[in-house]
Order: sequence, then C-alpha cells, then structure tokens
Amino acid sequence: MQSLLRPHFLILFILLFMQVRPADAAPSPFRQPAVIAVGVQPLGYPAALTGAVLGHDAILRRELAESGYVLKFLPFRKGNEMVDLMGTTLSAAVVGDMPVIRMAVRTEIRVVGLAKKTFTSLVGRNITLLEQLKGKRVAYAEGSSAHHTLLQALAGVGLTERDVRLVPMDVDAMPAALEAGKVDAFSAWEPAPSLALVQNTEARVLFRGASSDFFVVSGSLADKDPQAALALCAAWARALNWMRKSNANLQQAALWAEKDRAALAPRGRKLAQSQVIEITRREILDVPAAPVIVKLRGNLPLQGEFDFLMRQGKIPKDAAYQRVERAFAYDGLQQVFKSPQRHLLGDFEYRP
Amino acid sequence: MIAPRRRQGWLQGIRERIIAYFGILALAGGGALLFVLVYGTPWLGIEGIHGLKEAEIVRALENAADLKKQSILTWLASRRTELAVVASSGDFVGAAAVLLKQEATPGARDEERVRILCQHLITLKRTIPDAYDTLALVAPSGKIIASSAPDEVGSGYRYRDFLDAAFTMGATEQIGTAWADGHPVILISRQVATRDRTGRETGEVPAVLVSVTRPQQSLEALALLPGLADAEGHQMILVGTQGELLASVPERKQELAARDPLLARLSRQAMTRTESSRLETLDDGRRVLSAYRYVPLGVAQGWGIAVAVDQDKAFAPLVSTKARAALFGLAMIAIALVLVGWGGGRVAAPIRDLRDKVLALEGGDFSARAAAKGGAPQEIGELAAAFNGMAGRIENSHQELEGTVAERTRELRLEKEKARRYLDLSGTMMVLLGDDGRIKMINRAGAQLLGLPEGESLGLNWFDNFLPAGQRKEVREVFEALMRGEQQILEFYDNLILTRDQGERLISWHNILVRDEDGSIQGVLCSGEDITRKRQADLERGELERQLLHTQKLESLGVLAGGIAHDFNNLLMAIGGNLELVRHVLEPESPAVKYLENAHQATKRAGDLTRQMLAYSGKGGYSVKLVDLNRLVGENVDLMKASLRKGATFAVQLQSGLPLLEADPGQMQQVVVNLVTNAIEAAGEGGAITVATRLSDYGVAQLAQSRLEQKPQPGRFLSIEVADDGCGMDQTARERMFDPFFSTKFTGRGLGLSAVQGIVRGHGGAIFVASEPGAGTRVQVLFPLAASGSDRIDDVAQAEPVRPVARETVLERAAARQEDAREEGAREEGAREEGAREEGAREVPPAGVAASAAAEGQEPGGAATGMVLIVDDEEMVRLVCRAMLRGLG
Repeated sequence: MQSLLRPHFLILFILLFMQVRPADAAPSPFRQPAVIAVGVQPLGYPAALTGAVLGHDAILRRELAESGYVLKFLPFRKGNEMVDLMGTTLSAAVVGDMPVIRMAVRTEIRVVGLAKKTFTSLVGRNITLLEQLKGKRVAYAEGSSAHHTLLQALAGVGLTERDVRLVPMDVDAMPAALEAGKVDAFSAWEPAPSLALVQNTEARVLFRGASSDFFVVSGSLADKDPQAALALCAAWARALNWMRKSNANLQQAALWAEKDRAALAPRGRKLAQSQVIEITRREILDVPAAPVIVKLRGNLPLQGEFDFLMRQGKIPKDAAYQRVERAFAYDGLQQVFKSPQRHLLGDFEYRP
Repeated sequence: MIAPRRRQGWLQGIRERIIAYFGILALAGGGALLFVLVYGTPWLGIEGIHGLKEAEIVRALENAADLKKQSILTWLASRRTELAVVASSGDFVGAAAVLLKQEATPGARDEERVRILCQHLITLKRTIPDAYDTLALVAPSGKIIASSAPDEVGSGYRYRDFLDAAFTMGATEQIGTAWADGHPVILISRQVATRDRTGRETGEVPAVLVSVTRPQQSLEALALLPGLADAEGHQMILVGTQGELLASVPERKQELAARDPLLARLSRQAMTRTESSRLETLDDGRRVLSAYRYVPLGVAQGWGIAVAVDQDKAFAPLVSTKARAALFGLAMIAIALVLVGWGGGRVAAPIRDLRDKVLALEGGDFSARAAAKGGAPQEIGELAAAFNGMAGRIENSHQELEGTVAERTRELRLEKEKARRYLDLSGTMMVLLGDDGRIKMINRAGAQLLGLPEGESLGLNWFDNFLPAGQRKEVREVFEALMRGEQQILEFYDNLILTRDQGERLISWHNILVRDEDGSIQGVLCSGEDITRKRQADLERGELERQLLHTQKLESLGVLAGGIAHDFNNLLMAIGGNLELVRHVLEPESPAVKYLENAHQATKRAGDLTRQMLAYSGKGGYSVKLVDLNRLVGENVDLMKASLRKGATFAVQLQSGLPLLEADPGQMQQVVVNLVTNAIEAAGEGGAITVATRLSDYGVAQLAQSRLEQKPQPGRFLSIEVADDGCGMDQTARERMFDPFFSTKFTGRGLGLSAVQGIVRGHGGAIFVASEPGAGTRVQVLFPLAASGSDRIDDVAQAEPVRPVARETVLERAAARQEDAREEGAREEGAREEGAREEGAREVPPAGVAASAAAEGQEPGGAATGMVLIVDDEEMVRLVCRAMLRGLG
C-alpha cells in the first residue's frame, strides 16, 4: 500500500512546491517563463503512447518556448485526479469522458480531439452473467469512466452500488487483485482488462461500455493565448500522424510509454509491446476521422453519460450540460488541419 | 424378574437398521453429490455442471456474437483498405487533382480523366463482386465527379448528410450507415488530399471518395455456431443504429419483430452500445440467455448484435442428464440396499441367536447356552463363549441364592408371624397408613374396633371409610401435608372414627412416621386407644359433681334461709304478740292504734316472707292432711281471678274424681298461689291462663325430666299444671327460675318458685317446666299419691287427722319433727290463751321464754304452773325467752 501511495505523495509534493506560473498568466520578458503543464496517464493505453509522443515533440517545445512557455508533463494514475487541477496547475490533459464532464462542469475547458475510442470493461472471475455480480467484491476507480461503466452495467440488470461490495483500487493493481482472489471483478480501461484476460483463463469480460479519452486544454489558455493552444492542438495531430506513419514510430512510442509507466508504477505488470501497439491502433489510430470529433446533427456528445452521472449524484444537480457542449465546440483542430504546413503537421522532430 | 420383551417393529432389528441407515445415507449422499455436481458449491470452489453448462452456453453465444462482429469489422476493414488504396493511388489522385484544379474550366481532356477515374472505380467494384453498390468521387458541392456508375457523373450525391461529415477538416476517413432501397448500407469516405509541389498536403480537401457498400452477403451469412444455429429456441439478430432489425436468424420480418417479446428485448438492448451477457426474463415469462455485441461504425453510429437462447431448451439436455443420473443413482442404491440387507442378515443372525439365549436366561432358563455357528464373526463367537461362561456362573449362583432365599424367607415369615402376634396381643389399635392414605396393616384389636374382619380393611382408604364426614377434609389435608414433609407429626391427639357396629368412637392416637432407607416418608404408624367410655364416664362424673355441688349449695342456702327464717319468724311472732298486747291496752280511739295496725301488717308481710323461705328450705311448718286438690285449686283460683289483668282469661280444667292428696294444705295453697301469680304476671293483659289438675302415671324417663335433684319413684301422681301464653323464658331464665332471689320482675323477690320447689321437694314430688321465649310457659308439679291412694273426697269427712306416715324424704322428717312441735305449740298456745284470759291485762310471757326456761331446766315459778312452755333449740330464742321470763319474774 505504501508503495502505491508513494508516487501520489511525490506528485502532490511537486505540485505544491514547484514554482509554477499558471499558463493563463501570459509570458512576459520581465518575468519568469510561464509553465504549460500537461497531465498525462502513463498507465492507460493508448493515452500513454500519445502522451509520451507529445512529450518528445521538439517542435512543440520550441514553439511554446518561443512564446515564452516552459512545457511540463505531469503523470497521473487516473484522469479523476486531474479534475480539480485543470485551469490552475494544469493547462492541458488527456482524460476520459467522465473526468471531461466533471472538468467542464467545474471549469472552462476546450476539448481538442479524440484520444481514445474504446470500450471500458468489467472483468470478472468465475462469473458468467452480470446478474451474478450481486454480493461480489468489485474493484473500481472512483469517479473514472470505468466507474461509469460499472454503474451502467449494474443498472442494466437492476442492481445498484449497494448490491455489490465496492473496493476502491488503482487500475494497475486490479488484474493482480483479481488473480489473487482479492476481488471477484473489476471495472477498468486498457490495459487492465487485457492483462487480466491474458493472465487468468477464468477471467471473462462481463460488460463493455463505450468510452472515450479526449485531449483537452484549459479555457483560460485558449482564450488568453490561442496560439499556444493551437500549438498543443497541432502537436496532438502530429503525434497521431507520426504514429500512423510507420510501425517503427509506433514501437518507439510504446517504448517511451513503457518507460513512463515504469517510472510511475515500478511494480505494475507490463503488457507486451505487440498488445500495446494493437490496442493503440484499435482504439485511436484506426478509428475513422480520429482525432477529429465529427459533429453530427442531433448527436450531443456525452449527453447520456452526463444524465447518467447526474442521476447517480456524481455531479451537482444544478450542473448545466451546455458547459459540456461549449467545451466540445472548440475548433482548434480544424484550424490546424486547415493550415497543415503552417502548423507543421507533416514535420516530425521527436527527440528521445 | 423377567424384563418385558420389546415390541418387534420396523427399524427394531440390526439388519433393518443397517438397511435404513445405509439407505438414508445413500440417498442423502447421492442427493448431495448430485446437487453439488449439478449446481456446485462456491464456498468449496466446486463449479457445478449447471454453472459450467451455463458458462458454456454463454461462451458459445458470445463466440457467435464475437464472430459475427469480427466478420463485419473484417469485411469493413477490407472495404476501408480498398478505398484507401484507390484514394492514395498515384494515378487516381493525380487524375483527380488535375481534374479538380480544372473543374472551373473544363476541357475535352477532362472527360478522359473522368473516364479514367470512373474506370478505377468500376474496376474496384468489379473486383469485389456484391461488395459495393456505388463508388463515387464527390466534390464539396455534392456534385459527383466520377462514379462506378458513369451515368451519375455530374449529378448530386444522394447521401448529402454523410458528405458533411466526410468533408470535416482533418477527418481523413469517415464511416456512416444509411438505408438504400430497403437495405442497410455502409458509407465509407476517404478525403482526397491536395499536395503542393514539395508533396506536402495543403490542407485543402477538394473531394472525397465515397463507397456505398452493402454487406448483404455478410448479413445473410449470419450463421450461428454449430450446435446453436440449428437448435430450436436460438435467435441471432443484427440491429441498426435506430434499433431497426437488419437481419435475423431464424429470419423474421421487420414488421413482426416489434411484436415478438424476444426480438423486442434483444433489439432494445443491442442498441445500448454496450456488450454483455445476461439472463433475462421476458414479459411472457420465458427466460433467455443472451449475449450482446456492439459494432462501431463511424463517429456515433454502430450496429448491435444479439444472440439469445431459451434457457429451458438450452438446459434440456442437462435436465435429461440429471434425470438419468438420478435414476441410475437410485438403481445403484437399490442394488446396494439388497446387498446390505443380505450382509446385514449374515451379521444379525448370530446376534439374534445370542439375543434369544439371553432372553431365555432372563426368563429363567438357566440352562440356555449360545451356540456359535461356523461363519459367525469372530467377535460374536467370543461373545457367545463369554455368555455361556456367564450363564454357567449365573446358574450356580442362582441355585445357591435360591437356597439362601428359601431359608431367609422362612425366617422372615416366622419373624413376621411373631411380630403379628405381638401386634395382635396389643390391646390398642395399630394401623399403618401408606402415603396414599390406605391401610397397609392393621392388628386384630384395630380390626375388631372397626368392626371388620382383619383382611377386609387392608387397602381401604382410611379417610373415606373411617372418618366422620365433617372431619375428612381437615384430617386429610393434615395427612397430605405430613406426607409432603411440610408439617411435623402430631404424636398424640384424639379424634372420632366410624366403626361398622359401634358407630362413632373416640380414639386417642399415638403416631410415628414410617420412612424408607433414604429417609423419604412412606406412611404413618398409628396406635389408637378407644377412650369413648372413659371420656363419657368423665363427663358423667363431672356432671354429677356439678349437680352435687349445686345441691349442696342450695341445701346450704336452704339451711341458712331456713335457720334465719325460723328465728326471724319467732321474733316476728314475739313482735306480733307484743303489738297485739299493746293494742289491747290502748283505747280503741287512741291514735296509736293506727300505727300499731301498720306495724302488724308489716309483721304479716314479713311472716309471709319467712314462710316462703321456710317453704324453700323445707323447714316450714307442716300440717299434713288429706287435701282435696280440686277444691283447693278451685277456691284459690276463684280468689285470684281478681288479680287478672285486663282482657286476660282464666281456664280451669279440673279432673274429676281425683284421689285426696296427703299434703300440707297451706303449702299446697302456697304452691297454687305462687304458680298462678307468676302466670298472671307473665300473661299480662289479654293473656290466657290455664290451670289444670289430673292424675297420671309417670315412668322413670318422664320423671328424669324433673327439675328436682331427687327424682321420685315411678308411679301415680296428682298434678297441678299452670300454663300461660306469655313471653316465655330463655334457657338462662329456665335454668335459674328456681334459684332463690332470682327474679325477672322488678317487684319480685325471687322466692315464689323457690318456695314451690322446696314445697314440692318436701312432698317428694316432681316439677316439669316447658317454656320457650314467646311461646309461653307451662309448669307442672307432681305429688305422689299417698299409700292409700283410693281415698276419695267422700271419705274426708270421716277422716281423722292423721299423723303423717314416717317417710324417707326431708318432708317426712320435717313433718314428723314439726308435728311434735305443733302439738307442743298447740298446748303452749292453749295455755297462753288460757293464761291471757286469766291474767287479763297481764302481759303474756312469750312461749319461747317458757320453752327456753324449760329447756334449761329452770322452773318458771308458781305462777307459771299449768302453763305450756314452748322450747326452741335456737340460742337466740332461748336467750329471748330467758329474758322474757326474767322480766315476768
């Protein structure tokens, strides 16, 4: 337990004591450079790869440095931890749909593009049907998209959180807990489900709910320094282009991601690189139109999740969905794609 | 003592019990095993066949759904790849770029370029038969630039909404769904990017390549896994974005699907964009196992796959297997029971033989021996040998014991007989009562007292049979408390018992508790003595003593009263005489005459009083004569009628022909007057008084009711009966009515009835009294007839004064004594009168003085010659007389 908590303390220590000037304070030649801190999740795929590639993008660092910014990447175990920091400590982040809704309800954010389109899975051991979850121990990450998936699965068969024994747990610890019999099921995103299925033949996916990760920037940064925000948008599109360009690039991204994962969770289980690459292709690179979020008429992004969370009391009852809509109305990525050469979408300069 | 043989019934024998136990264990074990095998036990980590079967079915469903999902995605990936290849091919992109640049100024060569582009698209369509409906290169304006259907070139593109998404900046590839001619189609677009001279994309999207694909083949190939596809009750469906039924196996028409509960449920769940496996209960009660998969197509669209199987049908083979397994298990158990029965019989037979021998031994057959047969288990053989040894020792011991017991029994019988004789010798009653109150033992004296033969009283309940009804409850409660140990025994006490022939008897008891070896109370041993006669004698003696005491008291009182009255009467005589003398010496007109008359009246009343007292004491003067009782009563009643109260009546019933009564007439008159006076006063105004005389015979029993202590001898009696209807008397008044000076009247002196009692006593009679409060009073006095009871009134005239016959009674003695005195008195009186006539005014000396003097032997002088001297034996009289004589000189 202490080993699990130690990185958290480290992160909090860094956040509390490092001299960070929030990105919404415009850079000035008379003052220290402002910091643009990007929250990434090294324990989740493919967000770990996109975050890692973003971190090695020399073009982005150079562009932001020219604008007087220092770029920093802060690792988090789950997106929920970044909700309260967005707009203050963090200027950008890769988070799931549920933290995005909570961020949008809490502060002004701009959703740049898709970071992942996948299923979050509820994995059980020696359980065949969802109904058999009653009375079982289920590991979950409070406030995450996996939590949302768990609630969705329980509601689908007429159960509630009170019908199961919820066990709060870090996502990377869930496969081992399931294998050790400490829990009967867990709800998590990749790679935890794949790890559990590989390690334990008795493990089965009981439920899959569609979920997405998004790359978001703070509203204050986008409003006060649109160019810096566009630089981040371009870097995001460039990262996906670079990974799509060749398998070698993808492998390199996987190596960087593994390094980040090991730094955050040294004892965590490692997924094979081929599986990492497969997940990354399936959940972002091969997703049509990704990272662009195509807006269709009548299709309100995350409307169902918003209503569901409100029913579950996970967001305030007076929260307005219009804040979510406004967050998704950001066209930074379209601006970047309109000027690919200006934003160097075809130029790749990734340094180790 | 032979123990009762246990009832032979079901499950009593070893063999039956072995069969029953084994059967129960086999059934329970087999059932539990079957249950565990079928349903499993999670806490033991055993997954049952049911669970495994369920998992197998669900896995099959999931595999079928996954397979179908994968086939659609694979099919889609192929189309995407094909489109990407065409859209990125140099020829196509180059031709398209040139064409698009010159679109504003079309020329002759443009048609050729269009044809080339169309040819690319036609080639692709033909290469993959049935995969594409159309392939078209579409400008942002919606105009078709090139198409696999050349006829459409230049026309507007049909799926306009999809084009908006397809031209989204940065969305290189786009996928969507639509309906075409009643069939679902998938739209795939690929942006055709323009590049500058350096080969870099300019960011402009002049056109998109769109394919309209129809996965009809794939849809029609919705084959379930082997074993599922052909099974009844299975269903696989593919639903569209809006939940519309795209395809189904078995095939259902879309319009009918909404009415099918299963399809409705599957469609509704399949479009939730989630994947899961469930056990669902339909509205019609069916339970289905289902698996759902979501096939994402494009931005926010996708198809849903649902595979379901009816649970009952899916588990039908398992149910059949369970039934067969159960039947097999039962058959095996039955066979095993037969074998167990055979084996149990082999084990039980020698045990049963041994049991019979033990029972025979128990029944007294000491020669019984077990015979261990060949084949019997070793333990049973050893047991039989041990039994035989034990039986031999028991037989020997029994014979010795029999002899000892016979000897002891004889001794005990003798001892018992001896004890019995001791008990019978006892003159007192000996009874042993058990704790239930029944007689356990009784000796001869007791049986005789109860009036029962000796053996007959044994076992009878003492309280119900030998206690008076009024004492049963109380004595039984004491006895029961005694038996419970709640009360200390009362060692000595008396109570009445009921006997058969002697009625109630009073018994004095001496009791002791009988306890067993543990100290528990077993009964009580009672020794009783019949004290009925003794107690009665004590009572009679006490009564006699009381009567004697009373008589003595009354006699003393009578003596005292008589003595006083006698002397007082003498004094009154002296006073009266002197008053008479004084009246003679006074002038008739003297005023003192009146006072002398008053004093004379007072002396008369005092004389009456003394006469009453003398009558009570029996010392009055007696002048026994033959008295006509009727005459006497009639005369006195006539005189007393004047005393009757207002309205009172008087009835006189005199029996005619009564014999004469030998009695003192004065005292008879006193009796009549006293009784009638009391009756008049008791009757009061308006009362009725009856006076009667009669002659009757009275026996001992009747005379025993007399109120006099001395009862006369039975015989004929003359009686005077005075009755009134007045207030009557209570018991106290009745008892004390004859006591001197007892009176219930204010003015009474309480001597009337006492005088009557004394007179009657003196005449040897009897008194009967009958009175009750409010019922009046009847007093009857009896006088015995004289020896010559035949005297009649007619004889009275010739009758000479007769001296009283010597008698044994007080009256007789007193009469005799007074007769002498009367004769002397008469002589004295005569002398005194003679002297008075001679002496004139001289004072006449009192007779007592002369008597006294004579008694002392002193000569009274010459003057007294010829005078009668009355002598009394009382000292006072003697002194007075002496003084008078001295005074006379």
